[in-house]
Amino acid sequence: MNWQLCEKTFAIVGSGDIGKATARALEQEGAKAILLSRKSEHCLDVTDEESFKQYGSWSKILDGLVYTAGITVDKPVGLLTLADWQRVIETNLTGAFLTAKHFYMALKPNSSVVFLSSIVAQWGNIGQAAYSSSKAGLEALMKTLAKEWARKGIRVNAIAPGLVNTKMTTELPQMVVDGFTQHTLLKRLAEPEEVANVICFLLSPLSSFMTGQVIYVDGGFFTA
Amino acid sequence: MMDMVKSLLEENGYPTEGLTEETNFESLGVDSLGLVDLTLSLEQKGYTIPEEKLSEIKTVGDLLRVLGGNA
Ligand SMILES: NC(=O)c1ccc[n+]([C@@H]2O[C@H](COP(=O)([O-])OP(=O)(O)OC[C@H]3O[C@@H](n4cnc5c(N)ncnc54)[C@H](OP(=O)(O)O)[C@@H]3O)[C@@H](O)[C@H]2O)c1
Repeated sequence: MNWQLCEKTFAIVGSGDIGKATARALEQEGAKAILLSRKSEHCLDVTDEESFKQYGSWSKILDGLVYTAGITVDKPVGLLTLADWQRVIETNLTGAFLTAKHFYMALKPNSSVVFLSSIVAQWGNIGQAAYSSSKAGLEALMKTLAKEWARKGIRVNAIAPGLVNTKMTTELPQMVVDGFTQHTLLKRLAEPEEVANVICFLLSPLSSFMTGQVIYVDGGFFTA
Repeated sequence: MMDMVKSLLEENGYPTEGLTEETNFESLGVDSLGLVDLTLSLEQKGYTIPEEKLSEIKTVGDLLRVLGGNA
């Protein structure tokens, strides 16, 4: 299948396991992937609006944008501090808003934007009040952008993975991982490449009639 | 300044034939979201349009006045 990504340029905010897997997949298709994060060559701190200014001159150069920056602070609400809550919301939700706002002019007409949500946006999860709320907000932001940007043919979608085999999940207690796996039809975690493939599909013209959607890449978690 | 507004409209895919200071943005298909897009394009060119002025801009002449042009 021809993904029609060759010689296109994509920005990926967040250079963790899923961001890197997406960059590799895009490069394999002959596309250019620009990774942006605090530790990347293209430096960006999504919690600092000043940090976006250096990209303010980018004009209609991107065929797509992927927002993968994300953190979690897992504690029951009783132990979650306001600072914990704010840190998660700032990175996962406010950072996504700032990215949309400041990279809008960098997007070409008919480009595609993908946000990384999570199944917990709809499901909720013990210990993840801040994280799940940030992802639910992100999905509402995605739907609003899909409506505002459709006039330029810009499509905006989100992907909601279940647990993915990444650094983020190796830090989880085994009991939590086992609980998720048990509840997943395919009885395993996703590999970052399996999420990246769906991101590439949404970036590609092959998904040209899809916008405003949340795509579950969850091994059947919600069906179980 | 008029030339700049004309090329701005062209860049954003709007018709510019017979453009005058009296031309109403609505008649070109520029709605409120379209006007926001135009101001963002202007920002990239180094012009700032204060948010409170946006609602005052109905015609090309209004925009030129806000930009400090000699309309
Ligand atoms: N892993 C999973 O199981 C899973 C499941 C569902 C959804 N997701 C979502 O998928 C996305 C990617 O997950 P992942 O596993 O690849 O995460 P990860 O490996 O932890 O990577 C997260 C990335 O976010 C970047 N980041 C954090 N704070 C930032 C900031 N202030 N400014 C810029 N970048 C920042 C980090 O880069 P720097 O440190 O260089 O800034 C890091 O590269 C996240 O949004 C996550 O919520 C993950």
